[in-house]
Amino acid sequence: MKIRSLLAPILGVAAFFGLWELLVRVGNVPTYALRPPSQILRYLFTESTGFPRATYQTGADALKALLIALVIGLAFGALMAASRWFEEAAQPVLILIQVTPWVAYSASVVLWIGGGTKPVLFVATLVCVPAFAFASMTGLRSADPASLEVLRSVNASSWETMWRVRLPGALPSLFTAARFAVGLSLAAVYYTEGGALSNNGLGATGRKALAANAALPLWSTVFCSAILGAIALTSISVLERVLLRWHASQRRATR
Amino acid sequence: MSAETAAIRLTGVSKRFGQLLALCDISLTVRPGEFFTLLGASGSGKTTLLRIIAGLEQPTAGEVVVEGGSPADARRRKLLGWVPQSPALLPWRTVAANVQLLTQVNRSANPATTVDTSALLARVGLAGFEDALPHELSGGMQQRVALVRAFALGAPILLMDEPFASLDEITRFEMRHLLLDLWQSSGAAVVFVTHSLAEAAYLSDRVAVLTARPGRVAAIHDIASPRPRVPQLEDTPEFFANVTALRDSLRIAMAPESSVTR
Ligand SMILES: Nc1ncnc2c1ncn2[C@@H]1O[C@H](COP(=O)(O)OP(=O)(O)OP(=O)(O)O)[C@@H](O)[C@H]1O
Ligand SMILES: [Mg+2]
Repeated sequence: MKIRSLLAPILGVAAFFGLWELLVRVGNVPTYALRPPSQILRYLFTESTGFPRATYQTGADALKALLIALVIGLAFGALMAASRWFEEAAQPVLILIQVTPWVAYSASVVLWIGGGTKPVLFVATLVCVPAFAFASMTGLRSADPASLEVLRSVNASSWETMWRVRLPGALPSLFTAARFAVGLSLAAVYYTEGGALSNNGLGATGRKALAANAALPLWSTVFCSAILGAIALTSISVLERVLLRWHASQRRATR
Repeated sequence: MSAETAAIRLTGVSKRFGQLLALCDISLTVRPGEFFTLLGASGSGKTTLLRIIAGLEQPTAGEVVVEGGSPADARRRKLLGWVPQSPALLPWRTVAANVQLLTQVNRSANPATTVDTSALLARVGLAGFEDALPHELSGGMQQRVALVRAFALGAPILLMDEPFASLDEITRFEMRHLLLDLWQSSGAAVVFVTHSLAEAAYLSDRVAVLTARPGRVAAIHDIASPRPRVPQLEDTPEFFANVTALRDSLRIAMAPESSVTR
């Protein structure tokens, strides 16, 4: 059971890479456009330098941005869940953040804040906040009224109610938001790194490779980003298994 | 009856929701340790009355005294054990953790002596299920956990809103017996809402029959069957007589308003 559930995704990824390899080799794709995974792997393990560092940098920044966005989003979500007035005030701003293409302003943020990690964290955090804010709002509000009333019957404080009923009940929607935000955060970090010159993450490496017309390093940054995303999503799934053991989404069908 | 000997005293309580008069001039006294049942058809305001006693709803008129104070005071002092119609267990908490939920909040009001919750769980046949999650339990088992959660407070008053309504007849039958067992050793007064005649006749010391819309007290019945009551009671002529009396009373209460004298 355990092994089979581990084997399935590995086989899926292997099949995907196999297809990619086949496509490049049989389809006569020009080498400056797309490289086969075998070459990328060989490059990563034998010739390249600095990729582990760059991957770590990008991963750490994306994770930091996610966590900061989670905290800010939770705060916003709690306030919005508590007050319609605040919800109405905050909603248009959050939607604006959500629908504005961050690619369009990320370069301006670099100009404004300067190079390095700061603009990277700023953009990635900003774009992830709305997802967490909306998820917390609906999650916190969806608490079972009967459970809330049980707590009211002993005069539990709103903090106690938040901590013991509302927050655990919001976890499923927070996890859904986290899944969505992982890709967003990685993309925002990668892209903004490319614009923030002094940074040495995957995005900066990729941007330099692009400028030098070096397909292999460029595709290696793509490859490493994908690995980061896969690690992040797997971690979320594992966390979900543990923390949402009680939730219908985590229960296996008995038949 | 003097104020000191009343667990709950309602005087002229009315409740209006906009145009709708839900409760009209309800005056009742529940004695300490008494099993008091509110019997009425759907929409007669039973839930509303229970919520008013718990201070979860404000009456439009009238006065409510619970353990010598206001309902809000009673909640602050954790004198009320609330059993809703659905078990309302927290799905992420184990049975043991759900049972302890109410002692973990508003801690300063906890009584000096704590109730042994694992003993209570064992009493209702849930020994060995302490670490189970609610979704692993049957509906009847979940409702037993909800009962234990309320009794775990050691409160002098328990308010129960049709706790067995969603259970099948066989399970309900067992639950009645379990509830009496828990209640007898707790010494608490119970206000029990139901529209089941058998439940009212089996459990209660007194039964208040409510009219429908607006809810008024049509009659109060004394159920004299001796305690401890055992399931065999339900086969006795005495029990049938009580059920019949309640049914007649309910029929009169449900008749058009003019026939109810107050
Ligand atoms: N919050 C509310 N707002 C408006 N009307 C309400 C509200 N709560 C109850 N009512 C009305 O008051 C009346 C009594 O409702 P209540 O729930 O107390 O009845 P009940 O006796 O508990 O019925 P049931 O046996 O179906 O549970 C109903 O007509 C209902 O529509
Ligand atoms: Mg009701």
